[in-house]
Amino acid sequence: MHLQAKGITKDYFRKGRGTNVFTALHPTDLNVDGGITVVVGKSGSGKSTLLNVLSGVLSPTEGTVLWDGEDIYALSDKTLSCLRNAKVGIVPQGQTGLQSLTVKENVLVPFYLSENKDKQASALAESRADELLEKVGVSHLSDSYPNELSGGELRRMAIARALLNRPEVLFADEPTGDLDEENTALILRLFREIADQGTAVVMVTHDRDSLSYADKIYSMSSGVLTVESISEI
Amino acid sequence: MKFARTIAKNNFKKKPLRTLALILLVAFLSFTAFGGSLVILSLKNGLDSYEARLGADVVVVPYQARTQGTFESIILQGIPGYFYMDKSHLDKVRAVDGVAIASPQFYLATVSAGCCSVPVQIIGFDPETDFTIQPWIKKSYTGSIGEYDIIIGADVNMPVDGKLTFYDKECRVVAQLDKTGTGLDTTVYCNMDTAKDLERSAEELGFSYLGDVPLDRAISSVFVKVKQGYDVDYVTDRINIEVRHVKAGGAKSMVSGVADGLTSVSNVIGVLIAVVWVLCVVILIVAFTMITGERKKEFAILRILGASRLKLSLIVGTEAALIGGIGSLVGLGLSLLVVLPLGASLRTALSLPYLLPSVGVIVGLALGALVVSAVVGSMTSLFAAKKIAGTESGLLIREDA
Repeated sequence: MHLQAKGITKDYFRKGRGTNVFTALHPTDLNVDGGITVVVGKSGSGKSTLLNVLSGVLSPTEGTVLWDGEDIYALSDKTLSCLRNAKVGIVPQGQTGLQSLTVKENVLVPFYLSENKDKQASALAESRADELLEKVGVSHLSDSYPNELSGGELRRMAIARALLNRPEVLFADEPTGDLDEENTALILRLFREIADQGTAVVMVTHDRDSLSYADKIYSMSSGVLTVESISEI
Repeated sequence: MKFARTIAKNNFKKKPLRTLALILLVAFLSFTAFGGSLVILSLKNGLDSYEARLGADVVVVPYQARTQGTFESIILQGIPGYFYMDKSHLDKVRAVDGVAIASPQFYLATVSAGCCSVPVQIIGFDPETDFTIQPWIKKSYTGSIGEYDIIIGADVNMPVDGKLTFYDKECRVVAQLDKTGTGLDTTVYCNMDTAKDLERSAEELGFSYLGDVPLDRAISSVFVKVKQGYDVDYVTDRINIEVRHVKAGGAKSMVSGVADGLTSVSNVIGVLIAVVWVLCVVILIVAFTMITGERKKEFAILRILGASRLKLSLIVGTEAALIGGIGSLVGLGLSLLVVLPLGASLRTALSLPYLLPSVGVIVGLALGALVVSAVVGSMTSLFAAKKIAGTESGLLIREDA
């Protein structure tokens, strides 16, 4: 897998604030081939916008995002949705549990949305969900509903959900935001483990602890991305 | 799609009040569609049946009976009544240019007293000349109608071969007629001789109906069939001009008076259905839009996790379709519970013939109302679904963050 952003920008249109256009992301180039890429920066610096554009959920104002050479925003909605479902794992910002489903059902949503419907695949998905819930430390909550979970537990559920379909790239927006030190370390070790197994991890965070796990570090300020350091992958 | 159904069912459980409100709105749609259509159809059916059963071109009654509306209340509302004129009027009517057949009828009201089993309208007809009642009787009874033999309307509660007593005279039920949805359903038919015997018995018991018309010369109405090639209005006018103290009216014009009433009632019901539908559809669109707005983040998550726009619409649509289906069934059930038992009251309240259509037609109407309400109920959610599906999920998540 090779993910390449070429000259991507993102403008937001705002109502009633003097100038109507706010540029959240200035022309940016980025390559993701594997390992853990960490983007750090203050709130409002454009980190989440970059992550959303890269992950195929927010089209750039200019520029292209290429997945193995193919412009993902030129794909049909159905094809892009399949790509997100099968090859991309996303941990969005905030609490993203579906309130009507249990924790385990939430984790299984990517499988439910996939085209794979046979019984064997279903059994494998169930066991994968159990395994991931165990790994992120919330297996005891698998029959609970999101409104019964703490913020940290919900983040870990979202991480398990993002990993269900064994994505080629995992995009995580503040994945350790609500976690205590122990669970932060647990999640970062998990990211390291999956990165070592071949999944590229792109994470945006305030958390300086995560830098020690990073293979590439970028910083973001006022929509401008700067390389901080690149270690050997 | 199993997942869509799971999401829908779980949402119903998690938000029971919201679900109930939506189901009730759709139920209201199907209730008005089915109930309103059934009432309109029953009124039309009743009119057709009334027109067919009247069976004459011109009806002649004593002047006062027409001006006081006694004839219409007997025929339409089944209120027992009587009025008489001398049978010399019959001969005069027969002599009018254009009259092919003129057949007399004799009306007698029975009473709620020990001498009578039930208060009903008795209509005696002349078997020799009758052309309006006997064709209907032949549909259920082909034998001869002898002394004290009676044929009862559909709403008179007595089996064939049962006995009914009127003015202390026991009568044998030989047949029961099909339902018409008019006052004729509570009428008892017999030949003229039986009717006059009953009248005589009533007089003996102290009931005085005839006034100064001698019984052997008394008739109540004359049903007229005009000769081929003659205009009904022309013959009606001739009777009114040539025969004094009577009022002739075209049976069709009597029916058209009823038809005008029916059109007005149907129009009012139609407008009410339209108003209710517009209101419910607007409320449903607003409700689904609000709910979708409330669930914007949920839909954004589904998009992020790989739901295409089509799949997201399917998820929203499945939920709406389930609500639509359940709501429509509830509405249909309520309609059946309300409209069917209230048929008789509606007939009385509207003073119009009211006859339920056949079971097949009712089932067809129910299925139509079910499909239309369920589809309209579901379609209202698509506006909201389309709006959400058309917005980039990255923006939805950002708005919510």
